[in-house]
Amino acid sequence: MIAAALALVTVTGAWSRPAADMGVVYATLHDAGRRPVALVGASSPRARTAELHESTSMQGGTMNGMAMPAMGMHPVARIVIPAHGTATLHPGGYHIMLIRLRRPLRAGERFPVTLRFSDGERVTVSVPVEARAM
Amino acid sequence: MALSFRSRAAAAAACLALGLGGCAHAAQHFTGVAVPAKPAPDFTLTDQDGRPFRLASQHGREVILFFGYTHCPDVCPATMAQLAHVYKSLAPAQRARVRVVFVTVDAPRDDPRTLKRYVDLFDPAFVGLTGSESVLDPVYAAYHVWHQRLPGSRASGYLVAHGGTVYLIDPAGNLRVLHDWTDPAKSIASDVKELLA
Repeated sequence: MIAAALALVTVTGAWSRPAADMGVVYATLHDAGRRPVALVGASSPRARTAELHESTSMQGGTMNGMAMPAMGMHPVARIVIPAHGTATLHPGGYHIMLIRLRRPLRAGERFPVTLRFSDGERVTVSVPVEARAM
Repeated sequence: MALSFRSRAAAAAACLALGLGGCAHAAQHFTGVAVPAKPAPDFTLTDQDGRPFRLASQHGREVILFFGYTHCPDVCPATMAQLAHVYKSLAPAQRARVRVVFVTVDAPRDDPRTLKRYVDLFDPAFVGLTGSESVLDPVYAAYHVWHQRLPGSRASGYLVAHGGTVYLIDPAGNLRVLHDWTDPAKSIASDVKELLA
């Protein structure tokens, strides 16, 4: 596929956290093309399944008329990268959820994750596991 | 360190929801939202080794309390990693007087064994608590921890939306300061140290 050959999408700053059963991957996605491209899927040999999810702030009900802040999350079908732009997967926002890890992720190791884009491109990155604060 | 508007609003809202007056007059030496000292609601839950953990038995120790669930890939590990940084920033003598306590909002999936694998990822000294829903529900109510199951996928199973407040309980057992999960580790650490002083 031409788009794949042109490699319009680049992935930088990918990282993950130590995890036992459910893992996460964050990264910055760049689209060098003239059209928006979307991240539509991910996979890793270390997890049985990988999904795109988004965490969102939500109102956690009310108490004495005051809003209680809370965090919600939901699976998403795609994460759009604007033309000549970037999309960021970060704590508290978009992220790749690694479901049912085959073995725990330990700080200091790296593992491969393949990202699948709407133009047919596939990008495999080596993701470091880091015990970062945020 | 200045809190973001969102953090301050979040903590203030949680504070008001807890029914504590005077929250707007936060003590100046805390970076989080200070609440008038009142005994933290007590509870006895089961820890990651299957032993009872009673909050009121932590006399002389400061407790950092957070509610979450082990299937949560993003917000909970981010918060726990923050708290691990806070904990590591303390001197060994201070660390001996601090307990970081994670309480599940997902009792059906978080048994002690699952919690042990989880808290050990961040620091083996961290405590993970679970219990029956009938024991946990009053704890959520006392701390105004809103939580709600949300649909996930077949693979992920259900997800749980939940409050993102970090509660600091002083060594005398009083609830003192609230932080939002997004607050910087440095900011939380300064309040943790202040409460030990």
